[in-house]
Amino acid sequence: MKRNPPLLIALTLCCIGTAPGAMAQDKLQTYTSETQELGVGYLSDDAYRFGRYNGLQDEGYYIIGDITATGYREDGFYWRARGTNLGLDSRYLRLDGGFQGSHSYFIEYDELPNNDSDSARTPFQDPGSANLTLPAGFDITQNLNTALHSFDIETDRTRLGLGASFTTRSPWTMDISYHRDSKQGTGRIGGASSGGGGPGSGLLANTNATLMPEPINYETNLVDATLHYVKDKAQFDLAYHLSLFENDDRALSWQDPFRPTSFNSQALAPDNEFHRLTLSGGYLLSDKHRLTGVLSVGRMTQNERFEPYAFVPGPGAAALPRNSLDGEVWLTTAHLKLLSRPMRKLRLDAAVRYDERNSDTPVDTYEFVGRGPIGTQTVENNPLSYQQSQVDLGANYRINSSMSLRGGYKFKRMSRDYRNEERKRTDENTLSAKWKLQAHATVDLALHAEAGRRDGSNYRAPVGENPALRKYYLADRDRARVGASVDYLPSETLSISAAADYTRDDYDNSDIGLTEATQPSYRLDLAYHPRENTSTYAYYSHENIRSEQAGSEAGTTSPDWRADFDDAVDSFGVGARISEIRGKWDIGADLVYTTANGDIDMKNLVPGGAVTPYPDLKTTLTSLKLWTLYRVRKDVAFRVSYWYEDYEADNWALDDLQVDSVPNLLLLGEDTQDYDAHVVTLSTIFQF
Amino acid sequence: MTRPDHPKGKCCGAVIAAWLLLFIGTQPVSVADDTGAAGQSVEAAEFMGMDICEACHEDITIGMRMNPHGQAADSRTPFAGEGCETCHGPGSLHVEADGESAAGMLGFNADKGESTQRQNTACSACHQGGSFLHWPASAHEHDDMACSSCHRVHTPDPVLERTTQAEACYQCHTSIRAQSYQASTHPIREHKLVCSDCHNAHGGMGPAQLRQLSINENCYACHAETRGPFLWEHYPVTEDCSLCHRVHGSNHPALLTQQGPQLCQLCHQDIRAQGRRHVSRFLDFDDADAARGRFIVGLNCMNCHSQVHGSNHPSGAYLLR
Repeated sequence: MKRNPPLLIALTLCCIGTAPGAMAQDKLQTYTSETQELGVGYLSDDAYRFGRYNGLQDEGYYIIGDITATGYREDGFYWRARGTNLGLDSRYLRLDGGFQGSHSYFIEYDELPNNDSDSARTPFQDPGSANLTLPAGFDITQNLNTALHSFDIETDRTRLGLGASFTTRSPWTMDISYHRDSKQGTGRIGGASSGGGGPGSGLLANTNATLMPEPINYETNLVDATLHYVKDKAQFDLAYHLSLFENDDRALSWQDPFRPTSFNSQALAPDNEFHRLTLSGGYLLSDKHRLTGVLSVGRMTQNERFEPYAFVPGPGAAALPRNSLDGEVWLTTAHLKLLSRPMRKLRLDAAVRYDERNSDTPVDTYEFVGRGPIGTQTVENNPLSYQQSQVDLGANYRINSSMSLRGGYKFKRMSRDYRNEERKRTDENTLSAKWKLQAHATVDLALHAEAGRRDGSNYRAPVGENPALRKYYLADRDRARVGASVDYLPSETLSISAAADYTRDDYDNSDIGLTEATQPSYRLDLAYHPRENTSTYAYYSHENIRSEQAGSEAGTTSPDWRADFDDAVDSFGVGARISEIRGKWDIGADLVYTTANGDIDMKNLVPGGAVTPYPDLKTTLTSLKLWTLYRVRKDVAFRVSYWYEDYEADNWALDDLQVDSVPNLLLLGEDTQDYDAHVVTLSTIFQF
Repeated sequence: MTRPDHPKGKCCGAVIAAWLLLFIGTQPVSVADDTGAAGQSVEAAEFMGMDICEACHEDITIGMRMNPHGQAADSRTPFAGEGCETCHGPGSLHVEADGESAAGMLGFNADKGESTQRQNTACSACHQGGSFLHWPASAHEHDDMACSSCHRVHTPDPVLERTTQAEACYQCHTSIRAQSYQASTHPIREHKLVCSDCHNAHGGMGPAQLRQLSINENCYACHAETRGPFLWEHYPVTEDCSLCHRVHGSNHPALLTQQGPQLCQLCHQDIRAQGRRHVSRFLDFDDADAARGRFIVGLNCMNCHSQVHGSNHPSGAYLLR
């Protein structure tokens, strides 16, 4: 783990900290506020996953550095500074300044670690490289274990931003910003290779699979420029967005662990560009009507140079139809919404929306190096285009001062356009209603319901796929949703909220594939403020994500196996804050306990057919935070905190598997990342 | 080489034409809230000026001078106008009653009995356009939410501070809080990704009040490597990331809605001799220990079909390379 250089923090804080004093020398009155927290923390043990996004994973000490500073001068000059986690790899710092109402500027820096796994092992010599090689003399059957070494699957993301805003006394304002987003590190990626044998050496001849370290060296440059126009009755924005993505590694090549004499390659994410121009506006047509709209055109392009068909071109290697894709996709959106209030108690809204993805990517014939030699199988690329049209109508009627009713209707049509599409068109009609009632001065109730039906043109199963399978995002579907909530305030110090929701999706014309999905959930929240300086809360929530899936091992239209999935998630939290105890002490506590259990119930529908059940996928997180703050003086306080977190997980796809546990597959031998972490901090807070 | 011939959406032309017609042909007309905006509701009351307010409420006005609303040098702010009374309305009756009555003044708390509409009208007198452009008929506006339901003006606003924003949203969106504690999440707990990075609570241009025009464009803002366009596309991926990913948190790796290989099997059950091997080989968990375990453990289908977001390899059909 990289520790933040203390010097950097000290310099940052000193620079910002001296600013208020400098401003006080001006004749103009300046108002400043500044809070600095400086201290030290200690993590009891290495806890890789604990530091997944916060950078706190190595046993030992770390520096605490947070700052919030604000200053405003009478003539409109201002600055703001915000820094968090300055002593960790998850640091964030933003500085704003300028003359409010005239021109202002910002600069920001953000780091985000992502620790995925520190238990992966691989025989490849240089994880993170785009050219993975094995040690000399490597033989997977003889010396795999001696060749294995550990590597971390993790990335570091840094984001640097600059921006400016210009305001005039006219209705015009201009914002412009630039961000550079860099992501570096190592991921994991699978790769298929031929085991040889049979005619030729196609990819699908006795296929082996290898999990490998994936190099990640991304950079995205983003520019946003927006011109705002704001008057009492009309407003619009004209916005331009540019995103340029660059990957330092065009392809990953690797020496095949199963046949070290052969090499393979696969493409990595290609460089690409995206431009979008958007005009959005709002107009007050009359005292009862308002119109808003969006018109946007975007263009995505990609022209990364292709890899050759085969890593080592042989005598049969065919020429590529083109050297790069010249991929081009146009995105168009038009959205118009009218809001009317024809009567004091009635509100109507109507919206139409059209979204189009229009691919101009050229179509060519490419060799698929599959089962046989190069040239025996060709495939045409088949880019996706679609048009989506949507109509939304809604009415909201306030029946009386305590009751309102809302009804809505939505129509959505999706037309997909690619060669041999399964379903040319899907249509979805949805009706919804919501009823709100203030049953009593202390009780609010709400009920909502929704019913929808999706169908469309004839479904044509692709060649080779089970004709009874309906892909779930294209399939006929009946959707029903109901929900209720109640907010109860029995006293000024106590509030109780409860809510329950239930969603059911029925894929009634799907014999194979997803046949049903349900999602019941309920929640309870309590907040109790017995005294002005004391607040407590508690919450509990439960959610099931259930689905039923059918399949046919025999390849017939009748299912011969069925699987029921149930992810059950429970989350419980409780906490309290007491401030100004004897005018000097604040204390607080937060406890969270979350558990999730994923159950897969496989059923063999063949009479007498056996099945071995899948183990459950379990995760449990317990997090406890305790802290106290003691004010020595008005502007100085000491803070002590303790944070305990325990995470346990069982994932059958990873646990107890060595790299060679499964024939024809080279795994990374990872385990799920359990941890048990204790963090103690001591810091001083200065407030000016 | 051929280029695909796509039927251009007739609907598109009609919608654009209608949009432009209304855009160009409509003369905006004044609108007024039927309950009246701040400062207009009680004719008898008069403006008293900042000094009078400050005499009793100095703790608030000092704080206000350290936030954007309190900058008199900016002609757009309340303090460049009538000061506190710009938002709260004329305070003469309040002063005459020695502060015992708030008659004629506008309070921004539900327990003061002010209607949501009256409160929001005062705010929207200045906060319109830009990120507020789509507030009318947005989800929160439909739910009759007042600006003060989330925002604080006199004290630091928890919604504008990255470390406190999510907790403010969780007051209503409690299921999202639970999802943020699951095994696979975005860095929401660590405040590295906050709700407003993706959503515009005032109404967005995309579904679910997203800032971008579509779900995928929202995801591409941070995951541009999945944008393409690719030579070999995976259609549901190209269409909607949320068909496979549960963005606020999941019990499955990579925020997937379901563990593979079953997730892939929802759309892929090949009946050909070569393909059927895939279907038949994960009925039984015992398979995990056999050769066919390569379809089940590790990255399951992605052990071979690694390019699920799309491939740019000329031999990458079936997303293998």
